[in-house]
Amino acid sequence: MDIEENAYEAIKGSGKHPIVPGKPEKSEIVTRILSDDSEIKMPPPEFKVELTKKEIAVLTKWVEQGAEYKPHWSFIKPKKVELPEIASKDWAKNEVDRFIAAKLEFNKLSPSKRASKENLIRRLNFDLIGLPPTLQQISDFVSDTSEDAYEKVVNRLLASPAYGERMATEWMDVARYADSDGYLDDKHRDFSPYRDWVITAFNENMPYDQFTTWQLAGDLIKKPTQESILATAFNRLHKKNSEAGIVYEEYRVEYVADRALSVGKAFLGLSVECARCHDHKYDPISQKDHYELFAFFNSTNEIGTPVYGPGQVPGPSLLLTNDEQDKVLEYIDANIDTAKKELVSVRTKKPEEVAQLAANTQKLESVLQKALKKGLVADLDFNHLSKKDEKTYHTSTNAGNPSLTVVREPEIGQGLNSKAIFVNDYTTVTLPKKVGWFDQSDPFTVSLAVYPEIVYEEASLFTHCEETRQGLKGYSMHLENNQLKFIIARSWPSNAIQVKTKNPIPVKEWSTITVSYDGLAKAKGVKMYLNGKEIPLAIEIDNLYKSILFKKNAHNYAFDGFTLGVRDKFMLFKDGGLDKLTIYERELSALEVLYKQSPKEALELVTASAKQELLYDFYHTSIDSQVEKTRKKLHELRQERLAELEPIKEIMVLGDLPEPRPTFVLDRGMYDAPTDGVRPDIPEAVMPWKEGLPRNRLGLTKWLFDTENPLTSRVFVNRLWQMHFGRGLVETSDDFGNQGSLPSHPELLDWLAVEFMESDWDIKKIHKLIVMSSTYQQSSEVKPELLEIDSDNILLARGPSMRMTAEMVRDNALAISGLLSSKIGGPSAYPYQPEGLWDEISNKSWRYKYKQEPGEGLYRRSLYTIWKRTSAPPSMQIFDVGDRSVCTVKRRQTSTPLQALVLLNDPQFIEASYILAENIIEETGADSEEQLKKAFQFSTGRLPKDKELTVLKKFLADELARFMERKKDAIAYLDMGETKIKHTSDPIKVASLATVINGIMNTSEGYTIR
Amino acid sequence: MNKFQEQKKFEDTRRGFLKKASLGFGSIALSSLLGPTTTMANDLLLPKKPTLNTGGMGGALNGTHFPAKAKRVIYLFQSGGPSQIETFDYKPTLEKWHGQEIPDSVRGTQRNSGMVTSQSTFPLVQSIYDFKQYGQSGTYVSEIFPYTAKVVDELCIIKSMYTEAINHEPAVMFVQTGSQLSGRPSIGSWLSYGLGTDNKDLPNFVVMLSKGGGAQPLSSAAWGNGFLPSHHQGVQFRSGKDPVLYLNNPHGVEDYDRRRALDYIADLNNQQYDIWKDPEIQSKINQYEMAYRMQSSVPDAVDTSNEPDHIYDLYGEDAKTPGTYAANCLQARRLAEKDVKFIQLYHMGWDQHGGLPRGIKRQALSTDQATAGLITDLKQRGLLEDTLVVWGGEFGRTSFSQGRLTADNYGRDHHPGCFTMWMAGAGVKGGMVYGETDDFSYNVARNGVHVHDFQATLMHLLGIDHERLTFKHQGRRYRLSDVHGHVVKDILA
Repeated sequence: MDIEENAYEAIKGSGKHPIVPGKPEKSEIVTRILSDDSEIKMPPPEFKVELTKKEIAVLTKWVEQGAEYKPHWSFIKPKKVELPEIASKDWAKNEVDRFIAAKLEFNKLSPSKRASKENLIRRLNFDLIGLPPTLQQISDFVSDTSEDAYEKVVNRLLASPAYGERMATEWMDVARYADSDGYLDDKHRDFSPYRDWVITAFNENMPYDQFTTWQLAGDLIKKPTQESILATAFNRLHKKNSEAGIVYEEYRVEYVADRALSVGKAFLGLSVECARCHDHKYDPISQKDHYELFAFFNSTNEIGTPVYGPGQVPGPSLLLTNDEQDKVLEYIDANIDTAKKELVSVRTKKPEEVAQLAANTQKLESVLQKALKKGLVADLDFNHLSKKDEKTYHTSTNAGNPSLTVVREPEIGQGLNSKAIFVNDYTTVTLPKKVGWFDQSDPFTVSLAVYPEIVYEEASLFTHCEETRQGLKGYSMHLENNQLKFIIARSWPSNAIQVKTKNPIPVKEWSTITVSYDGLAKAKGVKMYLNGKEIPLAIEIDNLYKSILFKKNAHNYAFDGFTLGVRDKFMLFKDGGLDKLTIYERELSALEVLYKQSPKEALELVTASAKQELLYDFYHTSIDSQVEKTRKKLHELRQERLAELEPIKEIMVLGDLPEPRPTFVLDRGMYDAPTDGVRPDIPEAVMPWKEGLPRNRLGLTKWLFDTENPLTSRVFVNRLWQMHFGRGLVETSDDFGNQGSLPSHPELLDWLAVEFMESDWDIKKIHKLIVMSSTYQQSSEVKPELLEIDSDNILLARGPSMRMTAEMVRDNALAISGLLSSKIGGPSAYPYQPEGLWDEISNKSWRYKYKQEPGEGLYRRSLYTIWKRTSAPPSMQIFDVGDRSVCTVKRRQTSTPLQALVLLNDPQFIEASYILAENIIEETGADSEEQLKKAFQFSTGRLPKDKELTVLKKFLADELARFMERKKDAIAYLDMGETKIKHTSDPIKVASLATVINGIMNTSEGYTIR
Repeated sequence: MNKFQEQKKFEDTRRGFLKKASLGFGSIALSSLLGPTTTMANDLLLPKKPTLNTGGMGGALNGTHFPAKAKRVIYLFQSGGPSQIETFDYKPTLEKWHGQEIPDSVRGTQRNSGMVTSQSTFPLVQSIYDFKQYGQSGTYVSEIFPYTAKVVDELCIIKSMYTEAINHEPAVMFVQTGSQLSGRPSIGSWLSYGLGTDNKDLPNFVVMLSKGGGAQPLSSAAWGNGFLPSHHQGVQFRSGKDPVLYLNNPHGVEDYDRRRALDYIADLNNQQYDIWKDPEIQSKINQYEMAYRMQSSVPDAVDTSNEPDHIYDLYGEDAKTPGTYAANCLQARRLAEKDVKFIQLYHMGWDQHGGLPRGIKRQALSTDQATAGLITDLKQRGLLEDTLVVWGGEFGRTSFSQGRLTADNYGRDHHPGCFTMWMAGAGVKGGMVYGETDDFSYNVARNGVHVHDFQATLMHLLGIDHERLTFKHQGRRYRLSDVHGHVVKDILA
């Protein structure tokens, strides 16, 4: 029945036709929806849903009219129709008005009068910049009689930097912006550079296509910049789970799904997530479509757990260097390059004395033996274990650090020569602290004899690193199907080096494995040897740039120094044997490695003239003082670079694997139930893919911004409309699908959508178009007769009015009191919040503390208030702030007693009240009527009417009387906030006026945009 | 044409109707014509009208679907995943299996968490604590719950609970909201939305938190309103001077000062109404009155200073310390007396991956007496008749040891495959044990109760057909029980 052909065809068996176009009485669907017979009635009674009479009528009527199947309205490309002819031509200021007036006239309604100027400027201010006008701005506008007085205000506001903040506030809901990961641990993560980027982009009026393209594919555009890549943080703002024991892949899939969902909702107005488990019930989005969209975002180089700990940022990440840092780094890099060249050049020298060594085996041997003592920091053979208690043994190393290696619960067996350690479930071998303590700028060599009992899927051989959730920071070697894998990482798998041997090492045999590293942070500087012979390596990751040294903070643990046979309780080398460990704080040459393993072979090899380069390599690597000098210089430079890099912030961004990760349809949406493979693609029903576009995120944005795309423009202009009228032309601004509401003014929506595209996606232009209309400028006064006909103001016979957003409520109080900080951007702030909220939900020793800021931090715009996902700002939540767990494009507006309690009792509002009171008293002097007028005007944007003034006077008189009687109450009241009144101010007068101001703030007009 | 006229117009015979059906629609796409709006009233697939009006004021259901057995719920959420094996699911068979590997046939394909993936041995472990039979019903209860054992005849213990989530946060969300993803309305929000309130001076969904040792964090999303209007979110009652956020007047403002200010605010609001004629202003006036009433009713509700000694004896010494589980249990009873619809307690700290014997004992010590005290207290006041009490966590724990099994120590990992919850009071059979697990407490053996079944049953007890309390959001009708859930009829009294 979803398809025309099926619906018209006769049903097999009964021969009845579901639909006979034009003939409802012969159509089975009509018979069934009208039936009372539970056998045939549709929908069946067990579905527990019924059609309304109207719905039945519509269906019937549709059949009668020919049962024409058409694509869903929003999937048909928008077109500009001719502007409707209207009677009220004088009223209409622009195209918007033509459409609105036409519908009003059709409904025999007339528009409301223009709102007062005081009212208009206040409305404009909140809508465009989220802040109230100053009294000066109000009076300037009221007294400006020029024709374009209004337009000047509009232009000024659109050019104000606060505009970017207002728009960014809306966008934060779309981007599900938060300062923490969410889920159990809810680790904090600073994404504020992204927020700053959004503010700037809106202020610069970046075209919407560019704004979106950068966020979805800023890393893939031609000549990506730091800014364009920073924008892609948009799709790393999903929640991230760092709970221990999760299956990483399960959550990685969750994140990718979230990205697809966000793109669907933010840019297409469709809920694609419904198709994650099965084909969409209502919209033409199949499960396959879902995974095709998913495929665009499936290739991010990430694991499902976000690394945390000091300076940890889950990759792919972007270094947020500033120009100066760039210069410093460039300078260091140039010096490093010079030093590297020098190194190459000094290594070309072939002194005669070295060549002579080849002929003198004895001398060579003594030189080698001497060299092999150089830089040796640990040398263990496990032959002498002294028992300390039931489970613990100590053994000492033959070199370097005198403290003891601790071996717990080993199985002791036969090793290479004598004893060896075999690993059971509880065995640990831990070297003394600081042995093997290398940064990535340090060359080093580790050698270990191992005896694999079986072929291990994964088994750790040695580690000097933190656990996976802390980026495997450090270095480590493990077996993967008995191939050797060596990792040096700051934040695996992105900020890391990873190499792997091509062949597995033998089972049930002792092998000596050696890894050497030259300290230059490149994978090619890693060499591996099996029983003294170099073996080929595959480079899997080669992107190491920050320090790998362990640093303790509250969030990391599980670093035990150099350990053998297990990695953070996992990857046990079960039943495997460990013997003969040596660690060098330098890179050994191939000759030395071979000599260690089989001296005879090494000597023979060198004395045969063909292998002279081994000898020179040994000389350069281990003996030549000139090389050592150059290396030292290089080492210093590299350390300098690391020191410079360490404090530079990083942010999570998008970045794809070299080869796209294959994507499959997941049965029931389960991460471990892949079925058919799919390639990146879009929901065909919206608009087919254009051949020639790259099948990646960049191609996706090209598809989104193709002028044929029926949704992108409509969805966004509808949200702009929603910002100004509190309700979109499509009320369900988050659902343009079949189940969404129909546009109230479809032709206007389409006209705006086309206009937006034709203007090259100029956002400010659409704002201006909307606010310049007469429609927008109407008074919001409610006419009783209209209330009956159009209580939701869908036809717009009056101006918009809505409660201020959560952010505006607080920002308004800060602004009128003069407390508001004008600082734009930067990390999130910690304003007033009731004590203890973050403590109550966690017992973790590392739990985050809410540290209320002194001074300016208390008075930043609410856009900057710290957003902890598991404990969002309570006062904003009470005022319906968006839910930041997933992308949302529409907030609810509710009215609750808790809102009254916030405005009446939150110190933020009390402080604003008394500071404003003090300002007014200072400015106006003793005249209480003047004071009250000002107070009213600050709080509502207009002067009080006489009757209102009478009430205010009585109110103030009452307050004065009570504070006069109880001065200490006034003092207590004025002590609520961190900012205090001046000692020259009279606490009684200030507290009295403050109480009245707080009262006005609490009236409807105090927090409603009229 | 208003709704009433429409209704009238179509109340005709079928034939007549066919003739008369001539609305002014052009031939636009059918799907568009049928596109419902977001309001319930215009829904294409409208829920059936509720039949009875036994719910509270202002609920979306305007009553209940059928007579409710429970008027309110106290949900004692034991966060972290209490082990079923040391509490209620007595497994004498584990004694002979103790220390032996769990058979593959038992383990089957049930997933384990990533925490035990490197374990090479999975020794089964019996409860270190003894069980005895108690009450008329002869129900087995662990020795760590001596007080709960005494009220066991009131409890309907469900041993065959199972869930789909294996990690804390998603599992808590699943039990509390019906979805593993955070952002959906919690049970209390659904009930607030569907049934409205019975006490307009107090929030109808109250949340209280307490902590045991080593607690895993909770997310406030567990009591969030999701896509429902924000006045359905759980209101946290806290120990300390401000029992509800922003409840206290600013310093220097007495109750009568506040009253006077509110009168002036109302006066000003009325004048604004004269200007704008917006009904929203009237509703604001009401909200302020409710806020004022809350300011006195909440402190009154939470003030336990007048509770007599024998009540403290019942709940235990801890009940005198604000913020403890025991104090919250006592508070819960007071709120139940005042007809708060949904009282949600969370007690954190049941996550014993290691050191389980000591850890669970400590948890029991801080909860057992108060839990039983609450049941007894409700009963002696006749409140148990129409109050449903629920006890349980987000999942169970493995019957094999996580980490090393020694003579006096072991741990257990998360286990979604089976766990125990109990209900007591209104509408459920007391002294009943429902469902069974296998000999290892690893799989459900009989009468499995899925989390959605539990949710459906809870709603049923409150007079709601869980399939018919829906909210349309982004084109989809959402329910607490998603598209699943069956009422467990066998446990209904």
